[in-house]
Amino acid sequence: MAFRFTTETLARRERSGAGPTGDAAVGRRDDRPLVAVTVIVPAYNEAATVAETIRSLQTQTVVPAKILVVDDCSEDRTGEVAAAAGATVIRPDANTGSKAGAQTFALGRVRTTFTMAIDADTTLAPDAIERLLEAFADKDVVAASGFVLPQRVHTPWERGRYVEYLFSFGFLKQVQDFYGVPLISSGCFSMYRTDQLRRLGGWSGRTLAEDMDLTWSAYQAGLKVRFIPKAVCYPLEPHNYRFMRAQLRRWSHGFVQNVQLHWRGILPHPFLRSMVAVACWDAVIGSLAFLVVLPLLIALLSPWFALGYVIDGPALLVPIVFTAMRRRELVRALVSFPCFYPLRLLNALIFVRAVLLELVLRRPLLVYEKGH
Amino acid sequence: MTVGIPGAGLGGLFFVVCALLTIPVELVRTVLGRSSKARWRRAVHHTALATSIIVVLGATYWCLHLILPIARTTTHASLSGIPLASALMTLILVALVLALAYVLRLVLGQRGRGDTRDS
Repeated sequence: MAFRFTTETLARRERSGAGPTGDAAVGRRDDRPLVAVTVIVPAYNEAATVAETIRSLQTQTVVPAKILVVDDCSEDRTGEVAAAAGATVIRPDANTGSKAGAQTFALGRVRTTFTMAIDADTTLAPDAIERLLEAFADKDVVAASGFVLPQRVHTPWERGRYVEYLFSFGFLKQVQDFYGVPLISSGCFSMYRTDQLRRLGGWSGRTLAEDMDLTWSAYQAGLKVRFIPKAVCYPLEPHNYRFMRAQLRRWSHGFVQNVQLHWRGILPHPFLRSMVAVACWDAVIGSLAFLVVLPLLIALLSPWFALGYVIDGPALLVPIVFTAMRRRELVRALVSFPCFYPLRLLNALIFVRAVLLELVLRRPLLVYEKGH
Repeated sequence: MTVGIPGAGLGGLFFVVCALLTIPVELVRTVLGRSSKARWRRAVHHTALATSIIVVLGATYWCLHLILPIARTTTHASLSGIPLASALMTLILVALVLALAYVLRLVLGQRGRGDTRDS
């Protein structure tokens, strides 16, 4: 099994005096297993959050061999804070311009069997790395990601995102994984087999959704990707309109860019092809129905057509309530539920705009705008 | 990230249908000796969720049918208030989108083979 192999390998290195492969193992006194995982934390102006991320990595049930923070020429004290928290900090000569750039900069320094990427504003459940490693017992698995839930659920935007994630990760992603084809190995918390990751070219900056690009490239190379719902991570989600818009713009443009880039390559993969086809339909036709057809029906025929915006609410609540109950967060989920609708409307609006800009006007979004 | 409008639309229906198909898929895998208890647990879980979603969706339409006069005029061929025609039309639309993607694959596959021969 991959997990046992990596632990034993590192334990042998320690016994033989060869030393562990990374800094996290130096001076270790606890009994937790050391695993052959290097964690890459790309960080740009993350002084406020990076220490918490590092702490959550250090308190895992298994110990990663190295925690590598890429201080992407931050203007705040990100590097100092990360070093003080116990991570190895590296800094490129100039800002790499994107998360993908920062991660790929660090990939050359990885010497372990597995590479994990985590955002600098994301914390993990204590057993997240251990759970994620279990996916690699299958030698064909190249990447695995976990369940994502917002770290803070206070503002309406955070609440909307919380509900969206309960639905997506509690139902959609689990069905995708049953068929062996998660649509994306989420960039905020994913683990990869290092040699395969290098063979795939690391994280590419050619689209704004580098995680989707990498996942679809893996499928085209005949490799497997897994979603492990028991490995939970908690990123900070956009708390206001400005950040939410920036994130949704990046995701929407990233999706369109990936469809443009990979559409020929994914056609031979039946489930992936089907998912992308219905997603394209929803993103364009569904969004237009939301933004144009329904308002017209309301204006011309009857205000009752406004129910079209919320009519699927009770059905959506089924997986949301189920997942929230398992997490003992039912009240939070129910209170947050109405916030899902404005987020969905904004998502539709931004998607239509992204399609228009990328495909019709040929004005692609090229600048990586941070939105958490 | 979730593409498009999570919940509503074809994507939602596509995943409900996929969830309903997990048990037949697992039956086939069992016959081929490629199943496990864990996979069966997941298949039952997905099917239960998908069935609940359909029941709740039906109940929602049924309630609307009872309460709103406009629902009675816009749901054709309904059975006890459940808009079977609308549900069927959406299913057909999903099938059409999937078929379109498949046809695209066939056409490009042919063209790819043709290109290879030409070169």
